[in-house]
Amino acid sequence: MSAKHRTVLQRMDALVWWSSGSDMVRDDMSRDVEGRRYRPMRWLPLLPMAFGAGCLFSAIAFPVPHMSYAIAGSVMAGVAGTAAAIVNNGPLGKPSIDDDEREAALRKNAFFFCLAILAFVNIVGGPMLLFAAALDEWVAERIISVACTLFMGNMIWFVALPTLYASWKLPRLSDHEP
Amino acid sequence: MNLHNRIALFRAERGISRRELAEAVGVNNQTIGYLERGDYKPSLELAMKIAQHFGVSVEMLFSFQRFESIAMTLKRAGEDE
Repeated sequence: MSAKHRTVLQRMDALVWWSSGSDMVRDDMSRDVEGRRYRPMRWLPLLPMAFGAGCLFSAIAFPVPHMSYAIAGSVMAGVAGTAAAIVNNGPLGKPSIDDDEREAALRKNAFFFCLAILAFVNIVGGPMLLFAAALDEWVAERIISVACTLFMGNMIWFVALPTLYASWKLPRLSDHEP
Repeated sequence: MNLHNRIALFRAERGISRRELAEAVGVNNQTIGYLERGDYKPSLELAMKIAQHFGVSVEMLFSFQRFESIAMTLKRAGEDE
């Protein structure tokens, strides 16, 4: 197909290949286990996840002054960034364009597990929050703060949980195998 | 059900590295490691590609039963002679 008749997606795809980004990924993945950038992260994702859950619990249980919301929001944004950094260096960090069948299956299972967990938690937790807000007669500001914390918590879990799952699913390879 | 394989044996016999085999069948070399250790069950397509690369049938590479050890095979061959 001539360059003139390419679709936007085909042009974007060609741009990626032209930039040699895919070659960098291939080189990185073909290094030895020790030299690889993408490593299993079996414990690190638990930190931002625990922090996200803790913030949500605090926002629900202890109403705090307005300024605290701003501080907590900033800290949570930082934690979300940290979670993103963890993901980028974890087993799902590389672009999926060069996944082989094992990696594609691992990625699919990790996100399916994460979405199933988050769907269950939100389906059960959403109505419970509504009942709590109605029974305790929350003011609008408190509802907004809980909703914002819930959003950030969901985001952190959505970013960190697939990495945690994929890291534990990866068998440990000996560093000195031929 | 466990799926046993003799990829490492064939690879050693042919003097092929994991990376070479991985490049030949279009996967990452770590995937070959996981296959050899039995940590990953390949798709039919990948199993056939590996078998084709070694020039043998899929049954010679993969089996639900444990493969006989080389020592036992040699012993039996010696007894037959």
